[in-house]
Amino acid sequence: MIVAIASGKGGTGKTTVATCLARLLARRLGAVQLLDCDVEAPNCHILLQAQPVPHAEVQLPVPVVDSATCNACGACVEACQMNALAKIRDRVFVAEELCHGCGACSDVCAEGAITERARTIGRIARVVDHGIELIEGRLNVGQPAGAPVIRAVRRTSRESADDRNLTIIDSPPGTSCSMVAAVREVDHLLLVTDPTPFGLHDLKLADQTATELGLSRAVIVNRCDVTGPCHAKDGDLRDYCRRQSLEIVAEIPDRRGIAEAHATGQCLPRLVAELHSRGEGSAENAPGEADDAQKTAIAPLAQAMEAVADWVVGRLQKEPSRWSASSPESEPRP
Amino acid sequence: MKELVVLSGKGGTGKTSVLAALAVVAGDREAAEPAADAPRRGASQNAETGRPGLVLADADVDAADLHLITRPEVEQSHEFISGFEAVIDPAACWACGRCQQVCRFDAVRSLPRDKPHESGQELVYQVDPAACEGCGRCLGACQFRAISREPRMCGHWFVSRTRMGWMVHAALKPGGENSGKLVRLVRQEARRKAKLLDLPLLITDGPPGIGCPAIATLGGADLALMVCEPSPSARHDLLGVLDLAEHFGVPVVVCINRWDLNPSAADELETELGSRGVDVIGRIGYDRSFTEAQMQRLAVTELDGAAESTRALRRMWAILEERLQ
Repeated sequence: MIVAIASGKGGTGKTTVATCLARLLARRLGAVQLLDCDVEAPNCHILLQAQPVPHAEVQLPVPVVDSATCNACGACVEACQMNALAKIRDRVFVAEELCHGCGACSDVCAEGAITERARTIGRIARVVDHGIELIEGRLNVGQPAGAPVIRAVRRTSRESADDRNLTIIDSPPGTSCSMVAAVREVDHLLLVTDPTPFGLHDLKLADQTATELGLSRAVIVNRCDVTGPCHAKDGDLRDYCRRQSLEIVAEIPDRRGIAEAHATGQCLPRLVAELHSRGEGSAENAPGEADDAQKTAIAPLAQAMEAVADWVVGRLQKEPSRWSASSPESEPRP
Repeated sequence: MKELVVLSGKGGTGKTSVLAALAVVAGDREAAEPAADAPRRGASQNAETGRPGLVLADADVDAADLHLITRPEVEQSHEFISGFEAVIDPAACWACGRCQQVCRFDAVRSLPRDKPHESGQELVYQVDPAACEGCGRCLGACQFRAISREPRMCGHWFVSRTRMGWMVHAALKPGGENSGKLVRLVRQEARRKAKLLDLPLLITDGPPGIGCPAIATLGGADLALMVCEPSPSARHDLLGVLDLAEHFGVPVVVCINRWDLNPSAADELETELGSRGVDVIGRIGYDRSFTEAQMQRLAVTELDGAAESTRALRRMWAILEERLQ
């Protein structure tokens, strides 16, 4: 089963939710995969305090025009929809950063003057930590297109999965092509939002995008106790969820302590897991770890994360998964 | 005309809230001292617009939020049509599968046909518009000429009046392509508006990240204000966007928001940035007034009882104004 964590608005808590959930579920299920698809700002490794090691480069093919063979007919320039090719004084030039690597130009070249070269646009790194196989994508600075890096993360996920039956995806914010590349072909989408006007507005956009992709959606409300006059014509966040039949899986209250724990670089996934195992006599509940005040401060987060973990496990037991890391590319499981 | 862009790398650090607050302060200035030092920009633009002398642009086109605070009265609305998407005519498709073989974006799927076809094939191919990048390679590959391409409606863009000045903004269609192009269009139109009315200042709200929308926001800007937090994640993402600004040769200043959530990290960040030659021009404390203001659809500098943050923002604007000279 694949569960993606997304939101329209940035900074609503996607990565916190994804990493805490991964840590809790890794313990319950033995192992999970976590894909950091926020390739323009990958932060899962920071929250997990894990060091991914380089795994592969992400490359796009770009055309190389052999000026000796090229007769400057201009067919390639016409074929390119990205304006990545230009003919200037009987020579064809390639603007590599505009090229999406589709290959249309070499198809139309009657002279066979176009070959392809691999251009590196990002990289994939990987680490296994506390039962979490983290696969991180990272777009190189100055490169425009995140979606190919995200697709490469998801390909890597399919290649490396063996007995893991749960994959969690941390999606980039927004609703454009990167977000779509991260959340298409998943079983469930968990949308993290807050009850502010920005949170509600961007939740609607993300929800519309998910609806167009035909995805099953549910909501996690962060900073749930932020309230105030609501000027939206059609009511507040909860009205919207009710109307759209969006289940609210968990609510995380607005606590300065949680914000401080995040800002001071506490390992929230570990603290949440330790709070969860308190009283179970688990090995993770090692004495003398993070101080109790810290744990009290983030207890509401741990509680909400447990609810989300229960929800995911419930889905995992109840329904057949359409998608899994081991299903072949672009083919749902029968 | 000078353009200030606001970026952050990480989402949710307060870009839009800080920008709206600064726009109010900037507008106050322009309105309060109309023609003191710049006679051309005072009276004329106020007579024409009745508004302060600045233009706002929202370049965060796929999660645009600035309008929730500025509450624009839309004067012009335009469709944003950009690129193409491939469409397969099921009647003409003989299910040879060439289109799927050549597509590098995994955008072609095969499905069972609902009714028999003259080809005798039980499958038909279909393009997933969410994955299609409109390259047109499949059109050339199809021997049956079953694929056509259709112009793609990717969203809308608007020119509006707000209490802070003119505003150019957009709404990318959910899941829409070409967000970078829409950002470029929004900025271009905002610049045009500013030049036409001879307004001295354009403030652009940028997207999170470092990809095409962020690149399209940075190129050609006069100054970038990065809104950061003292968290490890925000620092990590700030470094990415600083590299990007360096790559494009745009000067940068930084504001540390919610600095008191981790004062020592804020100090370290300031030192680290200083060694890179980047100045921290302001710090804003963890202040629930920002949320309060947002709930009331106001900028924090318009809210009573947010004196401390308002002071910090006013000081910051004074520095920004200097840097923009």
